[in-house]
Amino acid sequence: MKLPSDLSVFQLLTSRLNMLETRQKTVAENVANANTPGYVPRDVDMASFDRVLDRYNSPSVGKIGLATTREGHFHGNTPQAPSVTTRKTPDSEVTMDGNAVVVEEQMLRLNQVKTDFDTAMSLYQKGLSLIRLASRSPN
Amino acid sequence: MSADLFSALSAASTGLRAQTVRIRVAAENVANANSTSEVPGGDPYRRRMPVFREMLDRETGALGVQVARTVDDQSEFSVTYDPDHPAADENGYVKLPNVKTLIEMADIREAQRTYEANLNIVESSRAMINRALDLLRRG
Repeated sequence: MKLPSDLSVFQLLTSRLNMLETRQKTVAENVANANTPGYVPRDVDMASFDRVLDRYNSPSVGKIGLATTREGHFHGNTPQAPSVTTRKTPDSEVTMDGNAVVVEEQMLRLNQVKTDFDTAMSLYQKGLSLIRLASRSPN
Repeated sequence: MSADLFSALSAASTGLRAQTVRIRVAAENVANANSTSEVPGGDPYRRRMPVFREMLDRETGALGVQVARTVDDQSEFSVTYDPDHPAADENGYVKLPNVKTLIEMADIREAQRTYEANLNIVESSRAMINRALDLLRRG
């Protein structure tokens, strides 16, 4: 039997939640440095998140690595799982001291992250309750 | 899993601290807006400004902020003619501090705004952590 954490729905949601947490962290860093001269805000590189998702969509999930056809064969190193990266994304204004953080835009992003996080969490919870429903005895 | 959320909290807390220092320096400037020299012809209080710098918290990996140092504002002192003043030079002129209360007020207002933005980050990160903990509670 597959564990709930192996189901692709949960894997997808977990990677999305992880991405959103990283995004929340970058927003926090940007706001903390809202007055630091020369600071350019960062955001999650969505292309890197796409690569993470591609890994789950490909049919060979979890099967990447060397084939072991006989006992005693080495498994070899499974390739490093792609992870979410961040990149510099200047906001719409740059002040005279080179700071490119606009607090309003960061607040907007903060709300967006929170909404996305709540959505993903609700879906996760819904998934869990479905499993619970399936595992319940008929009476 | 929520390590990034905790580092978001720590980044926001450095932001709160830095903005507090900024308000303190501005308050010092306003308090000394009329502090002239104690000796005849001497220099009065010189306005001070905080300089922010990025700071990597190695424990959490959060890119926070710190007040690197406070620098003196090198702009010119204004002078006023007041021969009876104890700080007047031989021609009767008194140097006044280069503090402009209006600028300090604008600075305090901006610091306050950034402080609130950091508080928003703390609040939403906390809500997200609680949301994740709810999975256990209702699990």
